[in-house]
Amino acid sequence: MESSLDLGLVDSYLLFCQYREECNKNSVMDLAKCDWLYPTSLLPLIAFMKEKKDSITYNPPLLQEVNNYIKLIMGEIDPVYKLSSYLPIVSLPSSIQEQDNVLKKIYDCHNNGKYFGGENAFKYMIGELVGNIYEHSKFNNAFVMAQHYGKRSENPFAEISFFDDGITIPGSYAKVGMVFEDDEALIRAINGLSTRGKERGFGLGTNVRLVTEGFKGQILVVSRNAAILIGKGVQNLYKLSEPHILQGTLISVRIPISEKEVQLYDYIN
Amino acid sequence: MTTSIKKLIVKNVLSQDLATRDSVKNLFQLINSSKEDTIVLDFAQVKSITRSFAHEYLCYRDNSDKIIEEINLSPWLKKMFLVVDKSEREPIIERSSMKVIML
Repeated sequence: MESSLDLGLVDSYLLFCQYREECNKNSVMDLAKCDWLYPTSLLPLIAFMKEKKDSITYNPPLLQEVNNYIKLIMGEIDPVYKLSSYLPIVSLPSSIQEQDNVLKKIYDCHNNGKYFGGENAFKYMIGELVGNIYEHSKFNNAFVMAQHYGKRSENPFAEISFFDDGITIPGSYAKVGMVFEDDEALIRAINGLSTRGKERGFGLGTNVRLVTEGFKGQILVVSRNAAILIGKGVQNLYKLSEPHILQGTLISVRIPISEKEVQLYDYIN
Repeated sequence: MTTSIKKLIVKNVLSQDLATRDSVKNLFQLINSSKEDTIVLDFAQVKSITRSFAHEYLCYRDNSDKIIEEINLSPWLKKMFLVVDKSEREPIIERSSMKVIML
């Protein structure tokens, strides 16, 4: 198996599915040989292990750096958002009143987006996607993580992931009587179909444009039985079968690190 | 007849980063429960705004019984309100141009 360090967004998601499938078979979450987990793998893994933690055996990664991330979910250290100055995972509190505080912690943790396309673009992306989670997902667990991988690659990049274990994008439509196949629901969500009126629903679509055209990056959206990967020259629609289905929604972006500030308004009109 | 005026500094009431629709609701709960007729919203030192916040703000503002005056709106913020007002929806992706992969 290739090193986890070389994985793209889809392969990172599939790595999570692989660990989950093995664990479902033998009740052991064996991460001993895990050499790295990008946010795309790590966030759904956190939620899965939180859900199963009383019924599985856990073999932690031998690498301490990886192991530290996983400890967060087992309650062995304090909630992440209190420690966000050096830990990049943020657990979203269920209380709506705390939204602004938690957003501030994310911004502070990442120098207000200095290395993520600049303050405006970074805050727009985080604010819209976190807002979507609170508005639509009805989550029990939701996480945001953003991190640089500059030292690990010839082409440094940042990966930002948003995961919630809520009712999913197709489920959110179905809740208001808009029943679509899962892949069709994802296409419509990106194209701006709102459950709450035609003047709404721009959040995901504008972020797809911002990431792919502004940052020149890629975005992966996974929700229930479908996934979509969009980037330069790439528009893939994935129909997911049982080992790869996600009971929740994962949105991950990878963007090249650049000194150049992304002009937000070029992509959201 | 005199008009009573209340000034709210948005950065202090909410945040310097205006992000979620829920924070608009909080703002207008404060506005609509105040006894003054006119509310001056001071947007000084507001650093960022999302489209969702701007849209929700305009909806609440236009339906409020209060007279709302905005001051210290930076060009950046004004532009977002303009974007919300004039946005046209275009498809970002089309199924026919996507590669379908079974996993």
